[in-house]
Amino acid sequence: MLCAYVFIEFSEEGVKAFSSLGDSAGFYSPTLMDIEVLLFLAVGGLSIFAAVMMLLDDNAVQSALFLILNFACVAFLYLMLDAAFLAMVQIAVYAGAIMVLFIFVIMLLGAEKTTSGTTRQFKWLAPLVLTLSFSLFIPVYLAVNQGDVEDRELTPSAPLVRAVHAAGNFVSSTDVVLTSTDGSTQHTIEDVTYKEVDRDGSDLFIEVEPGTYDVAVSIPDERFTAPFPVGSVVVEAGNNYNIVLYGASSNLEIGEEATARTIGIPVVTSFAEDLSPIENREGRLTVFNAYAPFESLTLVDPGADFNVTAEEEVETYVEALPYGEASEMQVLPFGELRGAFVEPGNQDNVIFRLRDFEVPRESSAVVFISSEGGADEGTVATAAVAITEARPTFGSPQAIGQELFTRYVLPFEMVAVLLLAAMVGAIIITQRADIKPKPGRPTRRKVSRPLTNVISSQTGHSLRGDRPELTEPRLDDPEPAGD
Amino acid sequence: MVAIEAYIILSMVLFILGAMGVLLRRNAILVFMSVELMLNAGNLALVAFARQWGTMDGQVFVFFVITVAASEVAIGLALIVTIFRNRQSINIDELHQMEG
Repeated sequence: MLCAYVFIEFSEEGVKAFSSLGDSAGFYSPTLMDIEVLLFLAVGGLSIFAAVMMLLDDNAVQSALFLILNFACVAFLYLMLDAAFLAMVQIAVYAGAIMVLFIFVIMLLGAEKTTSGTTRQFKWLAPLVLTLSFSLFIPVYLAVNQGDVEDRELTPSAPLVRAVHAAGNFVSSTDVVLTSTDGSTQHTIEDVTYKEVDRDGSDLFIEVEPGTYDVAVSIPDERFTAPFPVGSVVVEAGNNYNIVLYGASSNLEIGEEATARTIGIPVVTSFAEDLSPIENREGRLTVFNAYAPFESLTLVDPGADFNVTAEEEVETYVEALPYGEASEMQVLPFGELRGAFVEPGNQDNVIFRLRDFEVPRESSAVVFISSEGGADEGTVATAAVAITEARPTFGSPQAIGQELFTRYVLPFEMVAVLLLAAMVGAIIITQRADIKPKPGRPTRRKVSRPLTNVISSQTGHSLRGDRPELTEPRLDDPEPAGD
Repeated sequence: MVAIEAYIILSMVLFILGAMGVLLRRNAILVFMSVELMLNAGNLALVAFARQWGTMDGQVFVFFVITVAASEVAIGLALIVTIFRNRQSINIDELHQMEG
């Protein structure tokens, strides 16, 4: 990342220098993109030069060093392609570990110099290889000239939705049913519980098709076997939506006489939550106002005493947020945030104090403030916080890790097994030569066996019966002559 | 942003150089290094396509290719060391046993 940053700074200065050159020349004024092209040409040319020198050099060690230069150039190109993590892996694993292994083996075998005395057996191979290789350019030419690689549009990902229950006068837990207006698809989000939105973060989002959806909720009463429609929402591709149940449009009596109670049928609305990559030390804050008694609410910083007086100068995070709407997203440094919801224009009337709240790091927090209890029995403000991790930056270690441990976890395990197999294989391959005794080179045991024969022939009786472990017969050995 | 064609052409050139090294060099270690060059050329194309289409899959594949290359080098160099012990040479022209 640092390299990329330096690179951008350098290029901006370079642009100025080149632009002034261009102005004086009067016909050419390069942009940042031209600098990138120049860098690409320089680094790409260097990588080709290194590859050619690797092929032509007679000294194997020098070839290996040129290959390291080539790998470093490719790592730089990875940085230009937004693959910072892979660039570092390229340097550490390829240019580091693998090439050290190569140079170690070259030195171990003393194979620096290629055997130049022997004649080539395949003299006809060279022109054939050259022809075949350059014929590979034909498909590249066709792909570049006739392919539509550049024309391909980025397809936005399917929209993700989650249901949030912020209606204090409704039943505490309900199922939310989303039916597309043409009736083709239906999604059910089960057990959406009041104020419980931060349970498992992003797992709560479900994937749906873009379009308009009718929202219905289940009501635990025998009169409402079918879900009760409460409104409709529009979802578009490439966004994350919160579908919020809040407030009350009408009242309804449910239950038998003994346990009868009045519930408020909620209103439904939706707002998109921005989960795009975010800076390392920042978080996003959105506020959704479902607090009925006032038309709007203001979120201010109350200071350490959590109290606001009418005269006090306070920092305002969200100004006069209307009922039933989500605020603009704020980007704030992560860490503790003291907040107090106050009545607009009357800031000493504190409605709710946001205690022990932290702006999450590299995540998005939504604060839902809602009201409980009917107007007659006194309304209480309450808040729920939903925290969702923002998507990691393209090419970052987090992004690679997330892919590896979700969609690619099985290939990842298989590669781990492959590495283990390769390790065992390398040990076995290099060991087998040592286990087999070479013909003509006597082992210790072969020396000792004639000795026992000599002794047995001199003393007159066999030693084999007395010390069987010394004269263990081997299948590939000839029987000793004395027996 | 450099066009993806430039990266594909560079990747192709490196791949061809690697293929020529595999076919023309006689030192077995150099043949192996040329294979690494070819793998790297393929990786470069994968990373370029990953950026072009805005998905991480290409980069994850490069990660796997690097891992496979590492295990391949371990096995390959073990083979070369064994062959050198037995034949005192790693010239691949002298290693015809199958008369192919």
